[in-house]
Amino acid sequence: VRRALDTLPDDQRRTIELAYFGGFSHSEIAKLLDEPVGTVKGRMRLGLDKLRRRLGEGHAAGGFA
Amino acid sequence: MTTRDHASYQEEIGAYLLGALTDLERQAFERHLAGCAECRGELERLRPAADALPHSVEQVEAPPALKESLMAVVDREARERSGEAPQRRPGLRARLPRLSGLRPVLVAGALALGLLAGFGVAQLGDEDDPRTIAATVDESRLPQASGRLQISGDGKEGAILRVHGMPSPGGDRVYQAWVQRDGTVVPQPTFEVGEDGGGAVAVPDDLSDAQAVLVTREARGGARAPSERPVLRVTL
Repeated sequence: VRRALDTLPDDQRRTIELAYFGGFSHSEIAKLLDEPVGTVKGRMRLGLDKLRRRLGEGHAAGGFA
Repeated sequence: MTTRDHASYQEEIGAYLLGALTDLERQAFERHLAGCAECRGELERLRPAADALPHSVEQVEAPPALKESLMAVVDREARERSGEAPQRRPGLRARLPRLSGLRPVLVAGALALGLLAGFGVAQLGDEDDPRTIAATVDESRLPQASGRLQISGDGKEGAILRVHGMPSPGGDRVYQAWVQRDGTVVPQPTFEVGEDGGGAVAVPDDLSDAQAVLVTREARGGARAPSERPVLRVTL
């Protein structure tokens, strides 16, 4: 999972990490990154979507721990 | 549904799964979800990714007080930058050293929060604050560096370490803070510095019984134990 997360574009990975591990809300993250809230929400969704696909690939390849 | 349309809820699916909506937003989202098969489908499609996240690191909850003070710092800085006006846009970005790893290291106490502080707060702080302690730097390795530790309250709620004149650690490395206490060294978050050599990191650990805060250069993601002699030390 860690490796899958690391393959995301930086902005998506950061946003996900801030939200999930940092416990920040989307508006707090928007403020911290100085980005519009809509952009932050979009990255969360895109990032999760990518992560889901990467994890799928990992499984198919016998992959990620 | 009512005032908001489907697209605006659909947009929030990621934030919902990551727990990044406020209570009110979450309730509104769930009400929409109940009547929207498309959003439910999308939610279930993305859920496995969110469910996998806990497996990537050991999770540690942020000390709420530290998180609040960090947000206060960011708010204040945003206000200062924008004159005094509303506090939004003319923002931090230009100065943000790339937000460091923000990768919650695998260790207690090291959570994204600290890394967060790696940007934006570098310019803050009161020079005269009696709770600010200057760091000792290993000048043979970091000739230009300096640092100051700003302790919140009695130190039980951690501190913010700000550095200047620090070169990029090179390779795929980052700086990592540590708290030294009774002969043990406790990992704290990692951080990066900006092009100007400035950076900051929140040190969430209780410092009331600690002897020092240290900084070393470690592989991205952080280490469980220091791999080198500290390049910077704040003696408490």
